[in-house]
Amino acid sequence: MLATTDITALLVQARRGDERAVDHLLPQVYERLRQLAHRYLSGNLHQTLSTTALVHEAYLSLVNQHDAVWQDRAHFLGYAATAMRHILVDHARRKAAQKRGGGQLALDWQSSDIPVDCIAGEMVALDAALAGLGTLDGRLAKVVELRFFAGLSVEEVATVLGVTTRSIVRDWNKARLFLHHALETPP
Amino acid sequence: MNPAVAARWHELAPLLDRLLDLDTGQRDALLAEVSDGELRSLARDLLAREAAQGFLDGNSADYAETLIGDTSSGQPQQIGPYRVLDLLGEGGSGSVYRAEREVDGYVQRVALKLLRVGLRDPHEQARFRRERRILARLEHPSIARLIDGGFTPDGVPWFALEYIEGESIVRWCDTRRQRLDQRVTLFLAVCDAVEAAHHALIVHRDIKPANILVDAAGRPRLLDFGIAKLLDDSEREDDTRTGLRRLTPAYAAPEQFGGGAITTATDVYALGVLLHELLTGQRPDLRRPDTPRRLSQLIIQDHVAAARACTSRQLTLALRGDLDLIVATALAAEPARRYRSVAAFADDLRAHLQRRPIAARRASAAHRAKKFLLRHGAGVAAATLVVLTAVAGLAATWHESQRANQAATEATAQAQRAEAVKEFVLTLFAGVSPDESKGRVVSARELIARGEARLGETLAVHPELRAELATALAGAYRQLGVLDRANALANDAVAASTQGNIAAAARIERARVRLALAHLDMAKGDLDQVLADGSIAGSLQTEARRRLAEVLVAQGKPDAARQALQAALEQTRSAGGDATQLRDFAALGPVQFLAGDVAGAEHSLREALALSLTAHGKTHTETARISHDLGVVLLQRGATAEAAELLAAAEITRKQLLGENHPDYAQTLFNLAIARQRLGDAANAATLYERALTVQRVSLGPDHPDIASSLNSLAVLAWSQGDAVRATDHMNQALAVARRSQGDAHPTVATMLSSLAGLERFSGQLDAALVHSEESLAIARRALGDKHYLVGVAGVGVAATQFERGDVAAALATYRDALSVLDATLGPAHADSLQSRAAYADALLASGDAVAAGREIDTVVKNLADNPPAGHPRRARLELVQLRVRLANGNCSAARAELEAAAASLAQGGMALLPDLASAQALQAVHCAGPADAATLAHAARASAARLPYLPRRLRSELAALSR
Repeated sequence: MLATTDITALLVQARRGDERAVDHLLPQVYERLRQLAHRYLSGNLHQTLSTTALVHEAYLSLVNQHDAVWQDRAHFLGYAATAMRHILVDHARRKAAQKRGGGQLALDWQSSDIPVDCIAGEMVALDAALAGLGTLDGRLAKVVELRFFAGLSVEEVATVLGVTTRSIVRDWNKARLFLHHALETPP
Repeated sequence: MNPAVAARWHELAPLLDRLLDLDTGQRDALLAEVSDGELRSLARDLLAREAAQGFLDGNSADYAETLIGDTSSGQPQQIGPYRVLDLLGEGGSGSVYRAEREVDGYVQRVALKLLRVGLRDPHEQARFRRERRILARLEHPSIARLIDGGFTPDGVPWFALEYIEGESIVRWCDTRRQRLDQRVTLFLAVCDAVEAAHHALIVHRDIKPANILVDAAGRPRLLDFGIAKLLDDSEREDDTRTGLRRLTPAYAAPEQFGGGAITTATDVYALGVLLHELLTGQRPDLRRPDTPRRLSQLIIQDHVAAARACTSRQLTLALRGDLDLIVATALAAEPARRYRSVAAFADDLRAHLQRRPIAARRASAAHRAKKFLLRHGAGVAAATLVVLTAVAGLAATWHESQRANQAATEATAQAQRAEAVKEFVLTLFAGVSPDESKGRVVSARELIARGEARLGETLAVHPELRAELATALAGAYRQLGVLDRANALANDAVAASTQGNIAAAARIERARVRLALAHLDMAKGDLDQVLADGSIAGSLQTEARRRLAEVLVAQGKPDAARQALQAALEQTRSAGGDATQLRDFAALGPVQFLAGDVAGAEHSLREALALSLTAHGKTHTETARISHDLGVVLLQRGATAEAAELLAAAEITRKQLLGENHPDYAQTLFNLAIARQRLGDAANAATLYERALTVQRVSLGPDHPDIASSLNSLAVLAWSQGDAVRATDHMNQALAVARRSQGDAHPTVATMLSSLAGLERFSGQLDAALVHSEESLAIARRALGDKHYLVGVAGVGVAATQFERGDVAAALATYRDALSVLDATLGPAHADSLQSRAAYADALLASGDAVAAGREIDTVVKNLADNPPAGHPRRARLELVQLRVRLANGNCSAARAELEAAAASLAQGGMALLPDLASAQALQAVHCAGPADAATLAHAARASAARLPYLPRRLRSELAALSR
């Protein structure tokens, strides 16, 4: 784990377009998010995991607030969304692989949780569809990452991507249609 | 996945952007225009998924815990007496199985919850059993019963709940496209169940959509009642240090985080979150718990509105008012400030459904009246609220003014008047029920006309009330632009009123009408009379000063206007408060702008915008109005990019809140069009102008000043696209509308005359140009005084016409006057000043004074800075004047490359700059080219000139030089 100042420096380098800085950053953010997630779920805390809270907490714990400027936060959220996507999809793949016996479960059932298998399958499928969307329009895919995986609000996504909220709403609506289509019509 | 979607995505995406902005009917129309069959069917297929709810529409937070959480434990075969069938789900707290047992010969199916945490202490186990027995006594048709419970051999607690087949309440509502009222009704059934539990002294503690299923009969069923408490207590032994409790953060009340007492108020809060989600499709933003939670300020996505069988705008409007307030009350951070009980919460929702006043709102006279009207005015279009608000507001004003009277007479008078208002309003709405109006929407204008007709008979016995209502109706007419009726009613109001404050209010309204009619002296007379009477209420005096400022601006007395406003500001400043400040700044800005104080206007409006964003948030008509006004000011100052942003924001908000047929929305479209045009986006600008014009014709009728403005802009745009004929046509139409709607003496007429003269000059109609430009200058002077930038602009038009007609001496004198006005008002670096000074330099050059011409054009170039940037045609036009002067002064060699560059830039400038292009080519041919090039360039110059309808004077002499 790098010190917060190192992460801040990496962010500055990444902001200047240094690709290697990005390569160093992503694993750091991934690891931190994973640790935070497990801390939430371990022991007896029994809090519902909030991806939004995770992403913001990761920022606070990784980036030196004193040196960071607002662009750094926006950039960080961008990376964190990608890392969060990787974490969730990695877990989903593992879960899908160790899928226990028993048939398909309906999503609507009677308690606070949704069946693991369904979620794992949907998550893996979403990741693939999102990758397809990314090759067609990178920004649409990024908007989905930020909104869905990092749980950012429309306004926050607009700040991160430096465009108007109106554009984000448009992008999101379009991406939704594309992904709904991709997920509902099997290949 | 249909591979065609990916293959044709780049065509689909822009089409979807357009389609998603439209409602269903318009979508079909647009789709029908798509000639490519595959593209059309792909778009249709994608759009069909808009209302669908899928994995993507959940929150990743809902999935993260399940995916990341540990699921290593295997599935047990038997728990207590129950045979485990399959796993329904698992989460942080444990797993839930479908299980069954045989009881008296039939199979009982249960949802069996097995916790993760073991309880080994016998005392704890005993307490768990005690709690469980209390819960088991809870019986209600909408609550899933706790059937059984116990401990596994390892000491892990389990309990069995009645097994419910159903869907979570949020999903149930969405998939069935339930309207808001249906959702509220369903939610009320949930409230009843929670209230029943509270009577049995049981708090749920973990109300959330996943815990409320709707069964096949459409009845909500609450799960896990009181289970959270069992868990809390069972975890206590492990967690005394942190005091952390099991909770679902998104739905947990603040006291659950802070370790405060858990009471029925905790459930009120969670129900508030649930209602928030049912109504808006999103949960309240927990990260900003201190900001007021306004449902109607949220950005509503189209698919959310579609799931509620309405448009996003309808949804925003429906959420305003009662529902805003009810949810905010339920979500108060302090438990004591929430509804005292779930029953009180439910009562307010029922009141809302029945259009009765809600308890959460302090019962204000205005609000009651509005409710009363709504209850009796089913089917009346939202636009009619103009009148309702005016009438309701009156009741409140009247109440205030009566306070001075003795209490006893007040009570009687009030009752009588209330009765009279009621009667008046009832007659207003007689026949507007959908049955009687045959489903036709009754317009605000009809209602006002109806009110006017009934004014005499209904209110004959209450002269004061008659005066107030006439004042309100006059204001309504004025806002609709029907000024003759407004004037008659305002006269009526003044004549009918005897009491000081009511008479003052009537006079102020009459002054506003007179101002709109440009009867400026009469308007001032009314306001002076109000201000001269020391007994008039302070708020009315302030209002009178504000209006006086507007009148003074219109009279071309900006200094006096500012003094009047300053006096108004001093008067309110002592009262203080952000709301007052907001109102003052928002009022001052436009007046400063009209008075020509662009910098002052910008300052005031920026202050107002900041205050409004704090007070009202982004999605509010006041914020939109200030953004719009500031956008207009910035357009004038030349900060076009920021202006475009502000106007685009105002456009979105106004469309959402006011609808597409509101004159204010049209005005924003119009100004946004100007911004887009200045940013070089002519295509979008033309579309925006046309849209503005359509809206205006619908909302304002054929003869309204705003329509004249739109036509004027279409003319300017046509001109910038090189179509002088269409431009002249639009401009003549604009002028006709402006003369009819605003009178011949209005400054707008002056501006349009000036533009028309410019077009006439271009096509060589010099006599008409002279008449129109001189009329323009005369009107501008009369209306605005000598020191207004429009007077300068009009002056430049006269000078250019005089020059073109060969009257060079008069032209020079007129240019000098006009430039001194422009320098003093807009400053020498403003685009208008730069263009005008360059024209003056040209005229000086033509008069033979090359030295003075050089001095003037050097000033221009020095002031150019980077705006417009190098290479821009408009900049090239100014630089060409400098080159022309330099050539006249015999400095040829240095000019060669620059002339070439200028010609290249001017070639991009279209029709308007064609005379300059021809001139640049001619100058190159004569001064700077070898014999071979010269012939080519001369040919090019003649070809350019041939495209002009008329050869301007200077170009004629330059072309003549080619032949020599």
